[in-house]
Amino acid sequence: MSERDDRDWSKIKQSIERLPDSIEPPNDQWSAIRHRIELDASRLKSKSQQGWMPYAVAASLLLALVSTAISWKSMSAYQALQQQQIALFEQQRSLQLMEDQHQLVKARFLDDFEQQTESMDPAVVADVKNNLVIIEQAIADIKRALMQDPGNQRLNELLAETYSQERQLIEQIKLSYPTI
Amino acid sequence: MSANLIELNARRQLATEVEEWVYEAQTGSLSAFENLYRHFKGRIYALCLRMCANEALAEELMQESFVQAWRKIGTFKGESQFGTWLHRLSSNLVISYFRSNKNRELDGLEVPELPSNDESLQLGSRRDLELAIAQLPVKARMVLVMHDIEGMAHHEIAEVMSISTGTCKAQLHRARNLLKERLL
Repeated sequence: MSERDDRDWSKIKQSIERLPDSIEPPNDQWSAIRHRIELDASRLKSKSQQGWMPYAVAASLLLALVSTAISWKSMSAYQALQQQQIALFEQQRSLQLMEDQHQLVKARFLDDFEQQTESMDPAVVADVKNNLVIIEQAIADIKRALMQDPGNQRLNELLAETYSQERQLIEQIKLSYPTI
Repeated sequence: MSANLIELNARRQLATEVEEWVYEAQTGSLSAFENLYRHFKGRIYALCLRMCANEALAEELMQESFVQAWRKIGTFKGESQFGTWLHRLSSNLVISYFRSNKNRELDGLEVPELPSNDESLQLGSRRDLELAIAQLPVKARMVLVMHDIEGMAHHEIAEVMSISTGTCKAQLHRARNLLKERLL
């Protein structure tokens, strides 16, 4: 910008600076502004009044869904517990049956065995008795563990295996000593 | 107490009053907002009138500015003066108005034809200066009003008008040259 341009602009600038900051509008706009603000407020109010119903319905629906989910979960948990109890009961009954059969077989064997001990090698008698005691001890240990943890599948299997070992031992002795 | 001190105290008192009105309006007081309207209406009308160069449109945009200000007053955090915030809101509104498809585009308008007796325009006359500004092309006029009358910085104007600072400076240069041609 040249010096002359600067001088020219300076004159205009001074005139611009003298322009009033404020110009009174020809009409007072307040009533129109107020009307629009109040209209806004009433629209907002009506919208908020209409608006609560869908939220209430949604909330009820949500509550119902949550209740159903909780009930379903509780029911499922209850049913699972019930099934677990039934399974445990069945297992206990099966073990009891196994125990009864075992006791019967063992008692019969021990009666016959006691009658034959005098005619048997004392070392063999001692060995048989020792093995039976070991197995009996193992059975007692497993039963104690099962009282603490009745649902333990491995312990149940172990008990069944131990009964089976005892039966095998009895069978082997019977095979070795046909008179028993 | 000197006249300057009296004026300074009066300004401080007014600023406090404006802050109170703003606070009350933010809490929903329409009467406080009316006070704000009464206090700022002249300045907002002047801004709108100078930017859009049409009395009826200026009134309409001033009204819209205050309605928008009421709607948005909750967002005013006091980081700037309320007047500055209101001016910014109003200038944005005028620019948006000219951008909207139902109205003239910012670049679309050229310098309107001056009446045959325009040679009588006088720099010393406020009316003539206002007329000369009103006859500037829309974009150049808006930049001149915001920069030379409202005191906004180029980067601020560029931001509200969504133009580059360079374009803003070029428009100001154009506006000033046109004013010089018309008035000197």
